[in-house]
Parts: sequence; structure tokens; C-alpha cells
Amino acid sequence: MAIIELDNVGIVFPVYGANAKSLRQTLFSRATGGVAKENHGVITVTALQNITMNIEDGDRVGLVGHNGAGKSTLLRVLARVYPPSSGKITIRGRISSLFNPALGMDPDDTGMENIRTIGLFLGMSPHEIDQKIHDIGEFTELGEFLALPVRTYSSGMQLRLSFAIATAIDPEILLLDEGFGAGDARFSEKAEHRINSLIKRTKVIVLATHSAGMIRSMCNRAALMTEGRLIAYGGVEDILNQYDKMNHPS
Amino acid sequence: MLDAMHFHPIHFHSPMPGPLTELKRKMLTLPAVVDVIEGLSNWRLWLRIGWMDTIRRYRRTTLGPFWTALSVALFIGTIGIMYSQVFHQPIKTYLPYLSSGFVVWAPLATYITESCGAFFGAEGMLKQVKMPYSIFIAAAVVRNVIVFFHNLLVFIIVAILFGSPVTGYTLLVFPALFLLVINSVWVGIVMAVICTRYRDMLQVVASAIQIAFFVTPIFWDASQAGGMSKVFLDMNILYHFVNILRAPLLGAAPTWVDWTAVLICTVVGWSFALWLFNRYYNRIIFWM
Repeated sequence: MAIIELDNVGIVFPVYGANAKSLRQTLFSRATGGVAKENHGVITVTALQNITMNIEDGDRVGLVGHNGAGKSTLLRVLARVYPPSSGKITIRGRISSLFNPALGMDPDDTGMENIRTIGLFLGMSPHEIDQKIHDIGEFTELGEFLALPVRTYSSGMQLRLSFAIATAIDPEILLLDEGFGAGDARFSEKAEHRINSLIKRTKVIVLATHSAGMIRSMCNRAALMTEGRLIAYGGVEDILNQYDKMNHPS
Repeated sequence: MLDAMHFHPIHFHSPMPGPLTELKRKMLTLPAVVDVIEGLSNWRLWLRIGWMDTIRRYRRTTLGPFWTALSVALFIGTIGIMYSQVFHQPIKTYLPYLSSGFVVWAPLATYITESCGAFFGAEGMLKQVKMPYSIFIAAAVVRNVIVFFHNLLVFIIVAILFGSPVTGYTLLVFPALFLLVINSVWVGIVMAVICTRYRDMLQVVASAIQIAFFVTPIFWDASQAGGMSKVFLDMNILYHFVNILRAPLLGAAPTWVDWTAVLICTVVGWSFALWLFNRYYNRIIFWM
């Protein structure tokens, strides 16, 4: 059973490293919609506010919104990477997040070594890795290259390897960011097949994307975000219509 | 690791709820405590990270980590010959003394500096997958324990050359190493938390370590210090840490002052580290 409950969740980032004075001038000379604030000399940015939503078994949620609307931040909250600054979050179920496919890849290690290390990072047991290592190797079509350091691979080969490892997991909740793409055309078809099979065996999916096509083909619900707020959550067509209106106001 | 993916609190059952079990139950709800328990129990992962780091060093160079052992040997050789003259010490006793101290010091110093970057070095990972921070501390410990064993070879060669005694006390190497490792973890947590927030601290720690090398009796003997410097020496916790491992290496027993100082430091240090880690636990990710 996989459940996600967000109750009034907010995320406030401190901004360090920027020159506070010049940043202050830049931020406050423009209308930023009150996103940036200053607190005891620390600049903070409100990335998410008052997000309340329930996601249950069988929900495939597509997150839409402009760049900077908070889609990726929300995914990181769901991945439990960002603890909420306010509100409450309850998550039940094994989570896997596919944001950056090259996660944990070390160019000096061989393909096989990377499969084992990344597998452990993603929470697989050594036994689970042993079971899947053949299937992963098969998918990559790398053959003997798997015994060579990853730095000798072409970028396409590297992508195939990281994609194969990342999609070998068996999560209950799958979080996907649109940056998680796939390479050349021939590989893409295979990749699509593989990601479809992953989606089929997952109970809950949350996907952030700009592509209406992807949402229509993969999701049964959608959520529209703007400026860190969730403004609508419901059926796919209804939300996509609202998003369209937001893009082309007439 | 898998448990870290779930979001239920750890339940503690006890037939007789007393103040102690109540404390235990409370402790297990602290995110920092949960992090350390879950992180350290994922030994497969931190052993692998530490081990792969070592293998990688071997891969690109012929000597791999033995390069550090070699530079340690060069250092001990030159400083040993030079300072045995300066201090008017017989080389037969001075060289085993210097090398036993330095093979403990070198990985310890490297570890302290390395642990500063343990969290932001793993930023990519930590921003995609929720995993215990302590895994990356443990991996840094593993890496430097492996380096220690490489360096130990230098000491063993010196010990054989100069006939350094092996006694029953030599076995104390094991509890000493254990205490050093246990303490390294909390030191690493403190360093990593502070340095993730204040990146300047990295430079401060690096220079502090350099100075510490000169005020800690590594290449000079504690008996050479007198007056106020003797008091200062007893307060130097690094001195006691080096001593509990160095003395057994030389076939002697560390003093009770050394053991006591280290044990107190273990308790106080861990308490402070858990307090600090817990207080800022939810903010660390936003500092990266």
C-alpha cells in the first residue's frame, strides 16, 4: 500500500553565497510576487507554499507548470530529500526517484562495478542486484564493455548503462523528472518499453513534465502548479485545459 | 537503507516502562539518532564506497595508496635522521618513536580534513535519494583506516629494522583502533555539519590541523615539554588519541590518563555531535 499525504506543506530556502546587498537590490527592485524575503539578514526564497494533496494506490499524477513553478522542488519533497519548512507530510511505501540518470556513476569504475555501487545506493540488496545484474547488462547491449571503465564509453553507452540501472528498481512510489530522458532513437524505443514496464509494476507515480503528450499517455490525474502553489488538482484533460488557458490567455 | 525509505517512526516496546526506556524511546525519535543507526547499519554501502575509493587510487597509478606510504616513509626517514641529531636522541629509539606517531597522525589528519566535505561531496546523491548522511562519514572513515594499514607497513619495517619490542601490550592496538574509529565518526559528523554551512571552515580546519601537528608530540617527546606547556599537553586531546595507539605499537601500555581522556571524549563528543546534528538535521540539505 502506497500513500502520500501533503498537508499545507511549505518549503523555504535560505540563499547563501549570494552577496546579500546586491541580491537584495535585484530582488526587491523587481516584482517577484513576494517570493524572496529577508529574515535576520538571511535571504530566503519561498519555493512551495500551502501544498495540500493526497495521492493513493493507482494514482499516476502528472505535475505541470512553468519553469520555476516548483515541480522539481515538490518531487524532492516527495522523495523526502527536502523536509518541509511548514506543514506535514506522510509517505508510506518504498520510494524511488529518477531525476538525474547519471547519479552515482564513477567514470573510473567499470560498468559492472557501477551497477553494484549504484544498486546499493538505490537501496537494492546484494541479492537483488545479483538477480538483476544479468538483465541490466542485457539491456545495455554493452557486452564486454561492462568490464571496462565507464570513461571509455560513448555518451550514448553511458546513458544506456545509467538508465538500465535506475530502471531496474522495484519501487512502490516512483518519482520522475522530465530531465530523465533517453538518448538516440533506437535506444529510445527500447527505453520506452522498459520505462513502461517499470510504470506498470509501480503503485504510485508522480511525473513532472512540460509535455502534455507524456501526461496523457502516462497519467490518470494531473496537478497544475504556479509560483510554488498548487492551483488545481484533478482529471488530466481538465488540468491540461487550464494549463493551456494559462499559456494562451484570450 | 530500505527502512530509510519508509516513513514510520521506530516503535519501542518494553514490558516495564521506566525512565531509562522512556529516554531510549525519545532518543529513537530524534532524526539524528535514526540517521546514525540506519547509516551505520548499512555497512555494505559504506564499506563499498570506501573500498571503491581505494581501488580507484590503485587503478590510475602503479603504487596506488602506497604512494602515501612512500611519502610517509620519506618523511620519517629524513625527519628521523635530522631530528635525532637535533634532539640528541639515539636513532635506534627515535625512529620507531617518530614512525609510530606519524603513521597514526597522518591518516587522522587527512580524515579530519576530508570529513569536512563528506556531505557536500555527496550532494548529487543526497538531493535525489533520501539516505542517511552518516553513510558518507563512515565511508571516509573506512578509506582512512585502509590508508592507516598501508602506512602501518612503514612502521613495521622500521620496527623490525630497529628491533622495537613486541609485548603483550601490543594487543592493545585493537581496542585503541576501535576507540579511534568510534570517535572519528562523531568528529566527522561535527566537521561535516559545520563545514557544509560555513565553507570557510574548511580552510580553518586545514590550518588548525597543521598547527596541531607541531603542538602534539609526534616528532618530539612529551618529556621535552615542561611548565605550562606540560599542562597544555595534557589538555591536547589529540595527544591522548595518538598515544593510545602509539604506545601499544611500541610494545608499551598507554597511561590511564590517556584512556580516561579518550573515554570521556568519546561520551562528550558523541553527545555534542548528536545534539548538533539533530538541531540542524532538517536544514543541512538546504545548505548544499
